[in-house]
Amino acid sequence: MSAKQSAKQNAAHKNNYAPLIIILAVLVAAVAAVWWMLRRDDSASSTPAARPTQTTNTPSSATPASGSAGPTSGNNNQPGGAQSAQTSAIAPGPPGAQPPRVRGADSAAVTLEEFGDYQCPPCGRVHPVLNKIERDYAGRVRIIFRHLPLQSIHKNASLAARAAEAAGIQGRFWEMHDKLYEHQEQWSEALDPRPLFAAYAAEIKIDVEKFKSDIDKPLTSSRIIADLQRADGLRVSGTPTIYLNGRLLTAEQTLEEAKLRAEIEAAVAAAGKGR
Amino acid sequence: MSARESVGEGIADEASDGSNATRRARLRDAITAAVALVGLADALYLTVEHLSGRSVICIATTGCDKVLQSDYATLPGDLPLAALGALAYFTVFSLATLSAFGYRAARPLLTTVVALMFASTLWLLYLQAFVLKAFCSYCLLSAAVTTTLLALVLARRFLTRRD
Repeated sequence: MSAKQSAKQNAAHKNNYAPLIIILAVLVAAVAAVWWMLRRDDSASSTPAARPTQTTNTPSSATPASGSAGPTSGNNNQPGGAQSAQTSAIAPGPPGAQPPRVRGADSAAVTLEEFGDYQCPPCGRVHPVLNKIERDYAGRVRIIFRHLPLQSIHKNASLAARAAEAAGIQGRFWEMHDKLYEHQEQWSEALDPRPLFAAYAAEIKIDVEKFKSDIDKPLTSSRIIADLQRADGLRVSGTPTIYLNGRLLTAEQTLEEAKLRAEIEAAVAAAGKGR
Repeated sequence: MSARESVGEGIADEASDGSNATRRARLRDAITAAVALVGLADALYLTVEHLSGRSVICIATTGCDKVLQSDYATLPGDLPLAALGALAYFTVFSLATLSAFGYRAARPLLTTVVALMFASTLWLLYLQAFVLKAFCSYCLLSAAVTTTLLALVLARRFLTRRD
């Protein structure tokens, strides 16, 4: 073998490692990316992939308003309890709609703050769990609902949020909230869900004509915008997202009832009110 | 002769060839590997979102939830179908990279894997169009990537012979 051939052969052998190094580097990068994305869910420092999209979710007919622009008494179906709920045990950030939509006792030791989208299937699955939790921990847990309609993927989500707020103006926010989740499949893909929402309004016994009028009012939209601004400030990118006493729960803790209950149990016990 | 020596000789053979045809074939392999990386990123994102169980941001279409949360999106053992896709794209990337560096044994395997992926893609497109009646933009991107991979692999196979 000549010196030239030998040199070529040596060069070829050295090159043998190059593809393996490249493949290994991509494998490591892929594993690291998955680890980072899963971890992102577990920490408050998530990096939303489409936050600009969320800001465009806001109803176009509305003008951004301060959190205090929303309705006051009665709209959260819990007069008097709302203001203190939003000032304690929630994550620091933009205030969101004021007063917030709160269900549960004002004196509760545990506050769950949910960012939800009425058209999001996982939110629909979490909804009965949260209702059960509220019943099981009556007096010890309260739930704040924040609107985060992901309009880019859920075409009727913003309108549904406005329907809930419109019902809230007549003091039936939670009734409409429950209706929207319970009948999610019925209206989600409807070309025009308004007649269905009007039917729900009739079922929860509110003034349907006023409801139809309120659904498009800037006042209704302004509360949703305020909630979106809070979601944006907290860098919440997906739904459902739940904070427990201001601490972001992981996706597993949010979606698995046993884990969610374990977190609540621990928080209740920590507050010295465990059973 | 060890496998490494055999491979080394293969590389030396191709290196000594040095023809434009070989260079073009290697360029196609490199492009195949790069396209597979796009598919890998897409599939990894879907895998993570599937595991998180949350709604994903869907681009241009509105059927992501319906598709990604259907029974077809999960394999036995609760394994996301997207994870299998990620594995397939990584395999294609690896084989294309090896082929670009002269590992001839990788080429028939690369063609076979891409052909299987394309067949799976056709099946998944059928499910979206006729069974679920909803389209997920990430799945459509994956279909486009797999179709591109098939075109590249076929080009490698037939154009290189012609060259």
